[in-house]
Amino acid sequence: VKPSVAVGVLETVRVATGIALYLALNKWAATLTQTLGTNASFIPPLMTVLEVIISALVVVFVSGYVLGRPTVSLLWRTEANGLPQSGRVNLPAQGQSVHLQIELHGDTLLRRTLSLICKRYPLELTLEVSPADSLAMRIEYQLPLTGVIVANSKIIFQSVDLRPGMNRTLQLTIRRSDGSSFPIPVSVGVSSRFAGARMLGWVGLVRFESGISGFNLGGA
Amino acid sequence: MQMIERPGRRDPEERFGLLPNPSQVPPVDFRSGEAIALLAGAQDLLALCVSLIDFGFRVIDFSFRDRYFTVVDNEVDGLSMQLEDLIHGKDLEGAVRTLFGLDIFVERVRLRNDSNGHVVTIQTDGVIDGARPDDQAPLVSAMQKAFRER
Repeated sequence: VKPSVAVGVLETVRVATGIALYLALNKWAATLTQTLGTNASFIPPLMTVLEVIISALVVVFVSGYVLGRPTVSLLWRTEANGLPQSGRVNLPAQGQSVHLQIELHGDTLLRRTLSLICKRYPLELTLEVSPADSLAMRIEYQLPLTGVIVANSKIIFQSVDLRPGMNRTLQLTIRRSDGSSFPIPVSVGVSSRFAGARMLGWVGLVRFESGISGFNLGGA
Repeated sequence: MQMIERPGRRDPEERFGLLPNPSQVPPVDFRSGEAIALLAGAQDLLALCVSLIDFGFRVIDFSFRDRYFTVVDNEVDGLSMQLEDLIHGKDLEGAVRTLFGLDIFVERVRLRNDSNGHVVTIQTDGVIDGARPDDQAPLVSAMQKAFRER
């Protein structure tokens, strides 16, 4: 997902908060030094260190609880009770089923705001495999029962729910459909968009982790 | 017969249907005008069964496969019986929850049309065997109902 205007604004606000706070603390430190009425040489550097620490803590707080971008992670498993896979997942030549879970972390004020916005402008997430005609995918089961569709080489989550935690699970079967018998690498790309043109610049506010980079499809 | 969908159409009556596939083209490669094969997964088969109950069909049995597409003995812990009960009780979610996470998938379901006694077999990828002309109308209506939100 490419960074958008909104992400730029967000990062600027974060840095600006830090700088503004540092400058404000500068005045406060000067007043404090005067009030204490001491001229000891260790006071100015101590004050600077204090200002930096306080500004940094506030920025960390702002990032973590207020403006932190929520992250949607995709967890892929090749066995029901196995561990999530990463990197390139090996699939046998004839294919197999995989479990896919979608999980959200980062409960911030921004997440809550986006969650409200999503009710009006649903956030659509698309996974696309390439080369497109090497794999045929089919959804076997999904919980909740609707909301994800497979169209050719794409898996489309029609409305990503921005509630924290696990919010959707599905089981897919992935088969080879290109008729060849040599091993090939298949990559998985992630893209997302809010329905509605007004939301064009907002996409990057939700971060996506695709979990795996693709599949190694085995040879016959 | 092959279950088909026309992806460009919104109206379920235009979108879903059945077409003959006499040369048995693999569903993944099936094309006819704007129609492509409806690659029904295990949940789609269960949803179609729930919907077919309303059109006078009864489930005879299910067969299953594992995650590598190998056929599994259908006597796994009485799973077929358990699913039949859930389907006849129209509990699709219960049926999906029963199978979810077991790495067992419905591969094929046999149903009897109570009005004429025909036995119809529906397989994943939307392949239908044993449907005669008078079974087709209820099958298409059941598809339209079951896959409305697909």
